[in-house]
Amino acid sequence: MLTLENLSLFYEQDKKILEDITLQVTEGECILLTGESGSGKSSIINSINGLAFEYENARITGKVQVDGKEIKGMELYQISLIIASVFQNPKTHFFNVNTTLELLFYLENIGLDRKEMESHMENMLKVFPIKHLLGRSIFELSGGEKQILCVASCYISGCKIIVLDEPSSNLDEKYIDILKEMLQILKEKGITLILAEHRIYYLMDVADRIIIIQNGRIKESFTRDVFLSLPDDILYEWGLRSKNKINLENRQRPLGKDLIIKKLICDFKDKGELRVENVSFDLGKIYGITGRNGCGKSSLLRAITGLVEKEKSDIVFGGRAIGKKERLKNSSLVMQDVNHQLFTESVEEEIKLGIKDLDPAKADKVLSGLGLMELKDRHPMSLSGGQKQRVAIASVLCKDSRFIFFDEPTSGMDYNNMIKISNLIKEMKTENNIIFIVSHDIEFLNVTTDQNLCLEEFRVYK
Amino acid sequence: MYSVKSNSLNPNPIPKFFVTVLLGFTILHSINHYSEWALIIVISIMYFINGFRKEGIQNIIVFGILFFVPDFTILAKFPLVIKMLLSLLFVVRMFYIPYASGKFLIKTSDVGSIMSSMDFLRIPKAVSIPIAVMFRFFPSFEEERNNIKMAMKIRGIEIKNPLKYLEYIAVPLLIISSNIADDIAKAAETKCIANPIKKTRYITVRVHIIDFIYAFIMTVIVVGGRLCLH
Amino acid sequence: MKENRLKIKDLVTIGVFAVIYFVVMFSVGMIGLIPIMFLVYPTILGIVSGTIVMLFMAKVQKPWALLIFGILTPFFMMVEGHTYMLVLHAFVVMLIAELIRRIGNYNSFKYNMLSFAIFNTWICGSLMQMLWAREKYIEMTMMMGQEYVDALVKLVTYPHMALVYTGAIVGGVIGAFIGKALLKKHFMKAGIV
Repeated sequence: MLTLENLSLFYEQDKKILEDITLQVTEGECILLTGESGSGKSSIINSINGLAFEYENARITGKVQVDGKEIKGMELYQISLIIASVFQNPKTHFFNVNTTLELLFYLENIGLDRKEMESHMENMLKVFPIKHLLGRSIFELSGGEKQILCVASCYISGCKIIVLDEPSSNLDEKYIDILKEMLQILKEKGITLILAEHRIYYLMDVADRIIIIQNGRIKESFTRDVFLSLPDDILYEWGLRSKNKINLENRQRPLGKDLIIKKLICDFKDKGELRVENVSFDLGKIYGITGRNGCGKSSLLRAITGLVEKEKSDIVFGGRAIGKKERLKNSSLVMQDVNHQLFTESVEEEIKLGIKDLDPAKADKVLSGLGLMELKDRHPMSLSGGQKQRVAIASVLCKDSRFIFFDEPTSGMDYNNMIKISNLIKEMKTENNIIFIVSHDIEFLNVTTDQNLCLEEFRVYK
Repeated sequence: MYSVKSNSLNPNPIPKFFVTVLLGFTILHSINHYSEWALIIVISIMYFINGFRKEGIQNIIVFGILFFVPDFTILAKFPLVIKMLLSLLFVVRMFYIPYASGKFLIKTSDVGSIMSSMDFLRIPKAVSIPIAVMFRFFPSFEEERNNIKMAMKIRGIEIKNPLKYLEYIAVPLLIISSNIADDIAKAAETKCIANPIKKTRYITVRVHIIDFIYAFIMTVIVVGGRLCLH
Repeated sequence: MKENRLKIKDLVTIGVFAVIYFVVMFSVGMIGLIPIMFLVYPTILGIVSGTIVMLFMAKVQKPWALLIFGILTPFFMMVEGHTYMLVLHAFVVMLIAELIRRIGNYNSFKYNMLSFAIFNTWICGSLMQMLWAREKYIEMTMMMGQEYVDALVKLVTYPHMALVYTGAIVGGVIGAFIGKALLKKHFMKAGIV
């Protein structure tokens, strides 16, 4: 029903992103496009749902056809009548504030009356029991809940084809399982699914065909059975994550002697609280902080760094109590969206910012260590995602903090980039600092951290 | 059924908006003091019958304070600087009545009913879509602003040079906002927002008697209050 | 011709930038509540908000975008208790700004700058309200003593308002130049325009 024929895609200045992609998708099939970041798998998704032309100024040659109709000449709304989309970051990809209205938004736009909307809604609720998410503000939902809502709203639209661009990259294990269940149900209903992902373990029961994309071309194409028989080494070489579900190692409660959290409470009002007691950490170690979406990982991180105005905490470092202000002075943070923490006009300015008397020799050493030397004069915001992250890391290294925090450093990263960042973090480790990583990327935590703190056991729900 | 409760005691946004514009007149054209009190009391009653007790009481107390402040003759003896600060209260006092009704509009209307009211009034899409986006983006903007402030705090960026400080905030904030704008637009487009056929709304504008009562009473008070002055 | 129509992307951008403008106007507006300071408020607003509006104009180079963008803030202010006069005043201002932009074909810096300078005078409408409602304000401030009232009467007059308008335009021009500089320094490099 969906055909790509000799599809090539260019950005301005004839930069070729995709080359000669040919793919036949039959009705009800589930296709997994995978490959390393920047290989072009998302561009294939965007050429199918039409966003590449309108939003990325891309131009294509070749054919993209649905049921014999060419996509290229269609308006976006015409394409969207046939194809529904799920995006990588559920945080920003919605239009309404009320969850019910977001679910019904598509139906409003195709002019259904209220009765029909309600019957669609009832139908959907039979398939996906998500009544508890209705009638709420989108801003109250966790990332996982938002993504569920996005998938449900694709189903309610009745489109026969759904394309998903890295839908799992901001989800924790529990929500990945839910997503998988939802995809299985959609497949049983005969809906054609096309996914771009590099976290692939959860799709191993769902995908019919697995297509490896490399440098904008189709490198290999496998049926599921053949793919499952491939050794892991080859997958890593292609930049893919493991195809098996991985369990977190080193999960006993950290007991060290240098930084001791006697008590720290994050209050979530009517959603209970996070009450961390008697956890302690050693200098010179890397600690992972895990827990479900919405259990308070980011809040804990903000509280330890001393960014929260009103908090009750009792924290001891090196034998004496350490207050909020002092913690703030000794902390550095690499945020999940590094765009939040780049302020200046050049990489060099950026790493100097906020640090008095930075030794130029040291700055140069940090920059060359991270491969940023040639980018010294570039505007940080003009760099690629990975480069931006390294700039943020460079500024952290220059600050020489005792406590270094990473918030989800690997979301949406392929295997090779994940290993790179893991090695980088391990190199940052010295006898004078403690590194904390908030993450739900288990594969990454297992190769990076010395010990992991699971927040579930400290979370009190009302 | 699945979302916001429709209440036959809560007027739809159209009369609420009408009343807010109408009360705007009272700034330029004074009305009788008793009528002012009547307006405030009606708004508080509206809060009460819709279950917003706190807001209803607050409304009366705040207006009460603002109403009586100018009557304290002792103010004349205060030094000029304090007088200037106090005169701020007068400005607030002047704008309070239409503000109270605008607050009532925002507090007791959900975005869905505001959107369908705009459809009902045939407001063109070029205006109604940006307004819908404003409601949607406002909370995101606050989130992003806090994230950036947090990043600045931990980087040790201080407000020594206000212009520089503004630049530091402006760069990430405007870039992130532009990205979010693209994301919201994509979400809307893949949900067929540009579909040219006649759209429907799940939440429809329901006309209840309360709509007319509210608009009528407020009009009578304003007109009456105006006439009483002459 | 079809390319010049406002698309969904443009309408969303209008909404997003309207929120940013509204929040900035409001934070700067705190100083506008203090008497005397409110006379320079339009100038300061122009300087601070220039970057936002210039970036907006660079992103959406189409007819009517500025008019819609510009009318949203006064509209929300009306819901928050200002008079309808504020909206009417802003509408006239925005029409002029829109026309100036049209002469420059929506992409000339010179005309966009002039356009923003005019755009920035919409906020003077909130002071004009005070002028139009002067009687009522004076009546209330009577208790402050005759001397204070006299000072106030002398302050809020049409000639002074002309100065405020001039200040708004000057602030607008300065803001536009700052905006242009930051556009070149940051936003063009970051690839968002």
